[in-house]
Amino acid sequence: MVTTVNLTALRRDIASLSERNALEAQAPRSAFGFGDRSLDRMLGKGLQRGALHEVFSAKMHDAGAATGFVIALALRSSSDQSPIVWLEEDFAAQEYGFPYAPGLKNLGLDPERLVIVRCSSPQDVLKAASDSLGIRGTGAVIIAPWSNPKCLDLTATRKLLLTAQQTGVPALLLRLGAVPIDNSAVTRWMIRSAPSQSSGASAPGHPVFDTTLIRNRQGMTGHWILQWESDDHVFRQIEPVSGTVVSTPAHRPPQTRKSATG
Amino acid sequence: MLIVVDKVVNALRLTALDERAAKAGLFKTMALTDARAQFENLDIAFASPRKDAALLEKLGDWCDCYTPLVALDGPDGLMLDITGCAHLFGDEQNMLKDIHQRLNQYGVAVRSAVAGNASAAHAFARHSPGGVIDDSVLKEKLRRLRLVSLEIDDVHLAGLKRAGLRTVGDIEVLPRAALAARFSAGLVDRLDALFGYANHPISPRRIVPACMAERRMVEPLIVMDSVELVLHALGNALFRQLQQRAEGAREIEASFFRVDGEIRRIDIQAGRPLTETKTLFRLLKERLSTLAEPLDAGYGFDIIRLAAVRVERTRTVQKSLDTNVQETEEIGGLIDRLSIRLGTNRVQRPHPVDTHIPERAVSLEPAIHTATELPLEWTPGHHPGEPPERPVRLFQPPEQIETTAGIPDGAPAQFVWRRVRHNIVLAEGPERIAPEWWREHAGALTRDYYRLEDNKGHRFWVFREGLYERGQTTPRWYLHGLFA
Repeated sequence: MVTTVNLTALRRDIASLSERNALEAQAPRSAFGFGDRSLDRMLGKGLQRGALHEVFSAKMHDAGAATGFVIALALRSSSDQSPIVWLEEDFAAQEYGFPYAPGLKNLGLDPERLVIVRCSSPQDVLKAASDSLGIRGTGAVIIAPWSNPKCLDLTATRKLLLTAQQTGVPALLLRLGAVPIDNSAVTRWMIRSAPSQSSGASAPGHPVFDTTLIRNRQGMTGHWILQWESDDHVFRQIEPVSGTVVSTPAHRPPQTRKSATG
Repeated sequence: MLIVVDKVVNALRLTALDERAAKAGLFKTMALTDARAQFENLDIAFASPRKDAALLEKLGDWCDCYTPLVALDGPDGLMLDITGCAHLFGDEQNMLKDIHQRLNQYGVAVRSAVAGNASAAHAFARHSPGGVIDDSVLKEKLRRLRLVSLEIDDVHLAGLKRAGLRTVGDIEVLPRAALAARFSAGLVDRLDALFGYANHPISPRRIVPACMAERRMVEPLIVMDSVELVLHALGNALFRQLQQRAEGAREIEASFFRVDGEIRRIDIQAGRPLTETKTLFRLLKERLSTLAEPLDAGYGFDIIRLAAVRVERTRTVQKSLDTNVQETEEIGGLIDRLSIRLGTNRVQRPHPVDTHIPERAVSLEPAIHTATELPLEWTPGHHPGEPPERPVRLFQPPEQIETTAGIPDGAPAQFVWRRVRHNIVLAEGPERIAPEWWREHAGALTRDYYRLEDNKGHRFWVFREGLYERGQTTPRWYLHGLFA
């Protein structure tokens, strides 16, 4: 018996396969958005993926919000299930608490994706950062040194940026207890906590960030209030506090709350 | 005359003595006062079993260059299993000569013997001139050994002597059952061991590597570049051996034997089996650059050895089609490199632990060890649509705060943390977490956790330690974490 092979069909299959492969190879998309339509439209193509993004916590008490925002950016910019490397300087962890896996899971980050590297010095953080960024398999790298270390200068950030651009791995610099100085970051964010929309019975709601884009090499800057939807991994823009949407819970004095619950 | 003394049952007695002292008539277990009465010019040293043991360990390490199977034999002996190693030195005779020569150079007096089994070698080394005992004459020579070499209790020894027995041969011909009944089963055991009827394997000091490659230098190597070249060749040889067995190395030990007897061992662990010299070299370089005490060639290395201590089966993976596999491989390489540079306990993965106590719910395990057991679920599980229940950052230990509570048993209305006052507008709780009585000391208190939000939007996780109705003193409040 002679088996006939449909050559054309085979060729077509192979072509489609290789096409998909080629697409997927590029698919570490060159940019990522926030998932909020109006904000994404404003930012154009979104944020560059293989680039250095810097996130500051405005005050000591905003460290939680800044951490949350960085995790959200990591989730937005990386593909599902790709490993996320978190480089934390010991001092930052002492001062602001250690990243807590159950809490990260609550934000939508599967702890199994996480590799936490505890570094004893900012030099270690930077060296490990450039190593991690050089690996294409990394989904995102969160770099958390403490304060303003001397070694984190223009040259160092430029190196990080170049490595990130080469491999397309997002470098997210989490700056706790630091003040912005000039460096090579593509975007720079100042994060404050913002009152959440209560999820009922006067319980705190989903994370809400007061975000200010204070520097953007590729476009406009601005100020937004964003809520993180951890189930869908999207940001949702909320009207500023002065608007009508969030009003009572945020400004209700404690006395009223007490009488309401008690 | 040098003698070593130690306190034995409240009296200073001789525990070791040099040749001259032995010739002059001093002996072990003699009281120091008696020795002093006979001779006045004695050099007396105090025994230090700890230092002796350390020296013996060091010599044991050094003997590694003859065979990987080195065991300690009592407080003053080393047992080497040289099966299959002697031909590297020509024959047993040459090997023994080499050991003697080199140990004498280090200032160590040696007695030695080579025999077909460990017990016989032990007996010949201690109770005969020693040397290489060929198997053909082994039994005959054993029979001629004196009874002391059986190393049995003095009581039994005296008993045997009283019966007119002088040599091992005298009792070897006697019926075993009678011997065991009259003296002890130990005596028969010793006899069987000596003649090789009972096998007593030695227990080597170090793990015997699965496979290794080594090179002995004619001239000691001093220049690091040439050391690197040798390592490269050894790596290739090692991985060729491993490849034939379809295995890769999870742990590799590089040993550098220096001419002056110092040995430096460098251990390299990898998260996945290594199969290439290139990857090994990258890790090795990383390791060398982080050594607290750099690798010092001193007067040169005369032996360099690479040993695969832990091996694992490797699967041959086809590379081009599955990009995913390649990615995990790459992140694995990164974990290996970072673990070696920063230490394995600094590169970690979080694993869930089955407990409600928040600070114990996560265990950070070295990322280099691949988790084999089924992972537990994270508690509390995530409820879709619900805001986070746990903070993103956790303080360990929790930080104490001063609170003003609205009602005694409720959430605080305001609190001061790090000198800043926070007015609370939203609160949820309590989530009561009882201490694990089976693990904690009796004083552990129940915690009531609250999720709080202040008027600026900061979200905190605080708890009250202890209950109002039970405690006499007012319970303390702590801040445990920060929410996003």
